[in-house]
Amino acid sequence: MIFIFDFFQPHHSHGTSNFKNSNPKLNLQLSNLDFAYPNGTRALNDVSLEIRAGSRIAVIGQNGAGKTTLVKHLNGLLKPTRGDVLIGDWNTREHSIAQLARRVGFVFQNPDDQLFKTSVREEIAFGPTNLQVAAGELEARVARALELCGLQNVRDTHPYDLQLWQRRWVTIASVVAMQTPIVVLDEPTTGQDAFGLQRLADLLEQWEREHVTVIAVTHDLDFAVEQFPELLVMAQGQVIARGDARVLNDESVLKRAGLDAPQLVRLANALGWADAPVNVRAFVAHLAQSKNTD
Amino acid sequence: MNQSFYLDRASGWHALHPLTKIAVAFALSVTAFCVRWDFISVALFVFVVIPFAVWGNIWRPVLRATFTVILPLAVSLALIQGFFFPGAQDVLFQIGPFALKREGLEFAFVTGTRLMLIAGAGLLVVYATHPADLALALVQAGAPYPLAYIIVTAIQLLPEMQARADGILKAQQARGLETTGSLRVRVSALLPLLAPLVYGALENVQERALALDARAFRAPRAKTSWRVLRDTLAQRALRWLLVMFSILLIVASVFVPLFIR
Amino acid sequence: MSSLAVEQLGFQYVQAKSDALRGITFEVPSSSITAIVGANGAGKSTLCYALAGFIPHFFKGNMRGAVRVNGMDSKQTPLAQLVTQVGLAFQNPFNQISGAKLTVSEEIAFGLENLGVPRAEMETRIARALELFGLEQVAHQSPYALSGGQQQRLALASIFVMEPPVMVLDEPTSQLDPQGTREVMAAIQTLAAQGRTIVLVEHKLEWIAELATRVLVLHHGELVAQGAPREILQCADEWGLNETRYARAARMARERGLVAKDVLLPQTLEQATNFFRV
Ligand SMILES: Nc1ncnc2c1ncn2[C@@H]1O[C@H](COP(=O)(O)OP(=O)(O)OP(=O)(O)O)[C@@H](O)[C@H]1O
Ligand SMILES: Nc1ncnc2c1ncn2[C@@H]1O[C@H](COP(=O)(O)OP(=O)(O)OP(=O)(O)O)[C@@H](O)[C@H]1O
Ligand SMILES: [Mg+2]
Ligand SMILES: [Mg+2]
Repeated sequence: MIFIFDFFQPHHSHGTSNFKNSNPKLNLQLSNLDFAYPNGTRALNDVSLEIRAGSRIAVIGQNGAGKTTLVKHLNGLLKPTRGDVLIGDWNTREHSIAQLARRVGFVFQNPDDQLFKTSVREEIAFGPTNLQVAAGELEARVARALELCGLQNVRDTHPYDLQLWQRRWVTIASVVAMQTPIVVLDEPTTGQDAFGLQRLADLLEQWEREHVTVIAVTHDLDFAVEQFPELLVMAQGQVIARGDARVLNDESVLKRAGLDAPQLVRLANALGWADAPVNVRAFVAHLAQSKNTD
Repeated sequence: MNQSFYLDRASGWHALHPLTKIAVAFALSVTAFCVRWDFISVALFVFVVIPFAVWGNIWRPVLRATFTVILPLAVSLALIQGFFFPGAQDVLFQIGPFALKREGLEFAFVTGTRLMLIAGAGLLVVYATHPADLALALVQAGAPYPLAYIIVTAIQLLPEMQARADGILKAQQARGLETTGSLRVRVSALLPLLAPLVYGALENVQERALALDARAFRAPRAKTSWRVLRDTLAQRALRWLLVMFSILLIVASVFVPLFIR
Repeated sequence: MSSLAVEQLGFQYVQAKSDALRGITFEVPSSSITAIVGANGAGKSTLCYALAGFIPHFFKGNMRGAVRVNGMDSKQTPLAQLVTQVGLAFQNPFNQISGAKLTVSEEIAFGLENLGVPRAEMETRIARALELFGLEQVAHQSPYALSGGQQQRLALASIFVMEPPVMVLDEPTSQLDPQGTREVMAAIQTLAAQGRTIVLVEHKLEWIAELATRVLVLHHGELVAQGAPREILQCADEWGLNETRYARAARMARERGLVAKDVLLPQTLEQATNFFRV
């Protein structure tokens, strides 16, 4: 069932300040969602979905499947052509993007669609300032976001003077600082080196501790199965599968969604193992076991 | 987001050579300026622009855009000229110390309708002309290749700016900035929009230059074109007629007092 | 014969405090696939710019050493001429649109128009590019109304269609789905087999191990290793590269004494299967 805590509603004025203690449970509910772009492209076709508060979901699927279109519905950037999107008790049709920003932080696929301030610090402070965070806490939040995203050294740099991968981290940091109960990331893994991916994994862990709901679009399946207990597979405007890494054992799902199985799954199959380990540690444990039984 | 004015419709008006369409718009504008009759612009708009727009299946956007540009202008023209037209005598009515005068209103009417005609004629061309076709027509008419590109991208500038502004607004809203609602809210949202818009445009110039170079834009070769322009003898003749007509009208308006305003 | 020769290349961007590249020397033989790897900020894109002549002709700064493209010194040759020899697909797929075109097909045609390719030939080349990059369905859509991956496909198609003898691809698959990545890699392989020279910046090491002739490793602006993929990628973790899961698993298994110490870490599925089977 859906838990409804409309703690951000203006008439609960006492609720806004003690966000940390109220620990909101905002489930997401998408029902019979259709979406067509103004030029007539039908990008979503009857998508129904429930995402429980605190979930950590990776959205995967082929180019043009509708992943970006889907997640843009979660903070009202796009409004359904048909159907409804509920963020807790809020229907996105009835709330402005700015209101929804209190509940959902959104990191764009293209960092340049998101950055508009003249320094990294200001960029990060922009969101919390709009959410009327007090000055003292604002600085603390900015400092924390800078640290979590490894941006301390470029605090005062103009975002346009940074490299693409750093700009991506600025966009992530500016959402970290908003401390929303739901975070949506559109392709955060793109172009990241090993340190970047590790940092991202750490951040996901941090969000997990804070019971933040995380929905991330990614093409990096190896990362997805390691870091996300739940996968959502999209193809041609529809969700064609949902579940843990085992959904990728279905050959037809992979084919329809333009996916290759993760490396360890392919390897386990090639070795003739019955089930596929989701990470390197599990793989090696399985290997050790099979060596012992030999 | 739509990044161009062009509306792709299968119409006879669309199929005309870009220069023919431009010649029509030019002749219309010249006529409105040279003929001494207060209602000439209105007449041309009603009996030429609108029928052409209907023919091109673009009458809705042409009318909408014309009036969103012209109405505020017309109102301010009417107020300013109506009350403050120099040397006007004929008072229509008095509000406190201010008198609304006929000559001023007439002047505002003629100027306003002229602007309406020019806007309508211009939109008739840009809504129905593929920018690449325009560039090609210009090059075939002897314009240098880079100049044609610049003209075409300049025409796209407005819708592109609009798209970028929309993108920035969306990004700001997604971080909690309220930009819709009361007038006060919307006006106060304009300022934080301006700086990134200008900065982004500058940044864009650099990126464009890079993209163009990578696509051999400056390669010293004879250029070809993917799109094909259709021109006919009749259209060429029509263009000549329209240009001759416009020149005659201009000359006439200088020498024959009947035409001058 | 080598298509590209780089000698003691160094570069410092105008406002940068330190060098982005230092003392880089290597050659790229024709019809080979050379992969460039390195952590974020290692200098991969900067090297790409230099290979394609955008350094020194577009990005200003202090350039040392030389880059020779099919024998021509890039400093002495105008960019307009270099781009017909070396095609560069930029890292950021979102800003490579010409701005003058309204559909995907027209956008792909743009480069051909500039090269003066006759229209009849354009038609077949564009059709082939649309097919190769899976863009047929959006051929008549605006270049601005595309998904991220479709934009990257378009950017690549626009360069591929120009058929330059040397192609430098800066992270060409960053936005692509796995199937799209496989298609692009297959296309690269075909082109190399036909005699084209490819330089490829890529984070997906499995693909590099599958198809690169040679790998160059950049680290803090310096060329720290070059050679055959499997050997070079042994210390991928030390350079901040995203090791394959195969290599990671093999390393961990080695540390736990489950496999022999002296075998090279596997980088491809085939290598891994052999590695773990024994
Ligand atoms: N602004 C737009 N206008 C019209 N059509 C669009 C627009 N943006 C995307 N589309 C179309 O909608 C479909 C879904 O696009 P979407 O961006 O949601 O895909 P995606 O799953 O995020 O793909 P990718 O992995 O490439 O980012 C595609 O066919 C695309 O061409
Ligand atoms: N236009 C520029 N002006 C100034 N410095 C730059 C510019 N472009 C890159 N740099 C700097 O040069 C160095 C190398 O950057 P480069 O973009 O070549 O790295 P990269 O290996 O391509 O990284 P990534 O994996 O993020 O693409 C970095 O320190 C970067 O900050
Ligand atoms: Mg997307
Ligand atoms: Mg780079």
